Amino acid sequence: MLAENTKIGKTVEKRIKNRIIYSVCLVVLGAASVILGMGGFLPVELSDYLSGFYSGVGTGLIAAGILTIIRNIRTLKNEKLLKEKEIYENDERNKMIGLKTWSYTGYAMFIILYVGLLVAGFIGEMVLNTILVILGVYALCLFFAGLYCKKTM
Amino acid sequence: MKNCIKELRKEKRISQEELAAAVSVTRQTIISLENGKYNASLLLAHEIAKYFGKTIEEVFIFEN
Repeated sequence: MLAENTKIGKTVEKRIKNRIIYSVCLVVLGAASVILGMGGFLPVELSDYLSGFYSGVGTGLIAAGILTIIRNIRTLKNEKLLKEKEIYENDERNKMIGLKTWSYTGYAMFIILYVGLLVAGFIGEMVLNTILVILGVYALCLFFAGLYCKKTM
Repeated sequence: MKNCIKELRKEKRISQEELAAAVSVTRQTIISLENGKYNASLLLAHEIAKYFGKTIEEVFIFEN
């Protein structure tokens, strides 16, 4: 009903509906993971560990997906909750907090990876190469995200 | 940037919750604005000033 009243209300309602669709995808992905973990599709020598891993991750995804679906459907059906959600999601301070949180996390991640890279040399070449690849991909993501933001703003 | 939101709000006898609802932000945002912890965007500053029937310069004090 809120969606009938305001343009922002429509946006929030659409966003919540999209979240329900993403959550359904999450449940499907989780189910696929559980099937993969239990179905014996994995190499025999790794199956004990990997089967537990895939089953655990899959169950987690299913649970998270179902919870998100229930929560979002409840929000869609309740006018008061929808209004609260609308205000919370469009609140500029919350948006700023979100951006800053991601930004600080990004810096922390970069520093941790760099320290990890320095330490990894003493652990093994494999670990060093893995961290190097992660750091490279991270730097590329940062570069392209910056490029995208400069073009669109 | 200083502001006189608290004074204007008290003058008008409205709660933070009511002001927040009127300008479509959370109560926490109003608290942060009043405490000077957060600077409002131009859009929000305009909304708040409009709500009190003032200009942005009357509500927000710009400092160098």
